[in-house]
Amino acid sequence: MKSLTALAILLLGLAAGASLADDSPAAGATASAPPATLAWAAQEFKNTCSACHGADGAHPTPLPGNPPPIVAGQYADYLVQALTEYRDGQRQNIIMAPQAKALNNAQIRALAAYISRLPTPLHTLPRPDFGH
Amino acid sequence: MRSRIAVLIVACAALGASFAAHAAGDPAKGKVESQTCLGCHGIADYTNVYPSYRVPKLAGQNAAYIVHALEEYKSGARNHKTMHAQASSLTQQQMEDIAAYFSSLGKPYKPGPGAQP
Repeated sequence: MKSLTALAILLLGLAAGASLADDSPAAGATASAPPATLAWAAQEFKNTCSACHGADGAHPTPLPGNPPPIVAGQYADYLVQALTEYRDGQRQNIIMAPQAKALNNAQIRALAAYISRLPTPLHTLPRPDFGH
Repeated sequence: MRSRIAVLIVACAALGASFAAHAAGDPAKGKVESQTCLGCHGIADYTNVYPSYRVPKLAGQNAAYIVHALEEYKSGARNHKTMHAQASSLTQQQMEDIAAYFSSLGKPYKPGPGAQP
């Protein structure tokens, strides 16, 4: 219950402060329902993505032959790219394709924005000094 | 019923075996072998061109996924010219090593709402 309350507070804060336009959204978002808000994305993530990527997006289920990545905290525009490729068939995956086909551009952007904001172990290593 | 349990046991054993296969990477070797990766993946916010999007964060990613991604780039199942060229030069063992290295580097973080216990 406490975590539900925390989630609600977090989402309110995100909804208030969020700018979904910061990751060069692809054109062509449709206005079809349901609205692609962060609150919608949180629910969608919980209902669908979490089964394989973990409730927090950072503890994926180790599926042999098709291991899901940690998605929490990944760059939003990379996530948009991946979901779009799955949807449009450039990237083939027996699990992800049908999930992505259900999403419009605005929903993909909202999901990516939500996922990229989740706490994460992911980071970028510093590039080594190849120095001369 | 008994046969279902038997199937389950066999499936679990197979699962265990496949995890063991991915546990064989050597992170110390992977550190050396991944130097090339950092040319792009070692710059925060570094952007792929055509199409334009940031190259993904790899440190802390799970090893099985990294190996799988490299295998798909190598075979061409996943289409990316630069990554195909890079992955094509790697042996299976080197993929395992690189994956072991990157996956060993997860940063500490505070699990958020919805996190698993």
